[in-house]
Amino acid sequence: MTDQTMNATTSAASVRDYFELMKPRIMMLVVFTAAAGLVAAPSGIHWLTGAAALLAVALGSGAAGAINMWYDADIDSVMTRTSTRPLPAGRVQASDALSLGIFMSIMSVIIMTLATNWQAGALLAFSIFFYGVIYTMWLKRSTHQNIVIGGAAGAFPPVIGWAAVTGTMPVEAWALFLITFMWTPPHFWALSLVANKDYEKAGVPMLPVVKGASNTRLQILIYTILLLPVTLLPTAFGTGGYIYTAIAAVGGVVFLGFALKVFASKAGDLDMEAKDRKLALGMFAFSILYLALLFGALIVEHGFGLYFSSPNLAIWAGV
Amino acid sequence: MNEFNQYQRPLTAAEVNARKKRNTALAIILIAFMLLIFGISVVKLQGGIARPQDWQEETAGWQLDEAPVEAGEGPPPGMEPAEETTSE
Repeated sequence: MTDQTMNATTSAASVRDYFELMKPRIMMLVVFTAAAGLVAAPSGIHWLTGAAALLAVALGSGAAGAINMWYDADIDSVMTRTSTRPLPAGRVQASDALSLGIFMSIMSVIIMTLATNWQAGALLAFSIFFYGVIYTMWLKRSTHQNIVIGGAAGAFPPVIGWAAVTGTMPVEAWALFLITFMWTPPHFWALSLVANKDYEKAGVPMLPVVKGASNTRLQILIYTILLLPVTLLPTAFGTGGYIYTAIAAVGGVVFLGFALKVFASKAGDLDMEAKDRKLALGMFAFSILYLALLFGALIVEHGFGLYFSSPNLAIWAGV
Repeated sequence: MNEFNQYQRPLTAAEVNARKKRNTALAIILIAFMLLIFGISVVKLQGGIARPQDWQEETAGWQLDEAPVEAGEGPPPGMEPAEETTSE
């Protein structure tokens, strides 16, 4: 790429291209889980401060996404799924993506610390560092456990939300962390089963590439089984009421059903059929809905006054 | 085209349009950021300003000798009780 064309690509870059650098779909999920932590925390927060905290989380997530896109531009251009991203497509310059990522990282931490407290700001800074540096620059290309360890980065937001309100990070907040942490491997491996050729081509050591599809399907099942009791931890701690518990139970059974079907299928194998592919993608899609419903239930219960556990229900019913 | 002109070439209409939109977005973001910081400052200040009516309610029943004094903190300078003096 010559300087002249680089100049031209920067000049033609649209606002949407820069927005795309921030991985908006991941950002939405991150903000959603942070909002759950924010409303589930046992204390109040001014609406403007809460909104500022969520904005800071969104900016932090976008910053980490931009840094990830900057660093992964080489492998993104090789993979079909990511080849149309702004950097590999040549719509945005690499240095612009990095500058945006660093600038937004700093701004997000400043806003979070000013609006709430240093604990939330510090955890936000650490989560950006974890995703942008530890996961993207180190784990992703060096170990097939990349998603397992790297999943922590996406699991921090509810703890950040909780810390923004209370200035503390108690075990109830870490239970919410654990849900996303345990959810990430089956979620991502379901997708990587159908995209393993892409990862192989790019030299990314995803589990199906290194250990094979059969082992990946087994790991998906194991992590899903482990996830089910973890989703019930908020009920045990009193963070989740009846609505949350019902969704966790029903959603968990459905998710386990997907995991069992994927385990019994040929998803990711060389002789994979269209129905196997559809099954793995179905599990991937449901996993997003499942997580959204879990954290959505917490938002509904705590944000809209619908939190009922056994004693609360008795008070509500006038007993 | 010499090296200088590589960087100074005129922009196309599409590029000018894209730049204008980026600048507009930046302006909106900057104004929003300014308003956000202003709003956060107001919220934070509200928490720190003592409201007179609260202070009056809190201190209404106090007697002078019941006023809470922080440990190790004496009365303000000039307000010390007069020491008893014995006249001979």
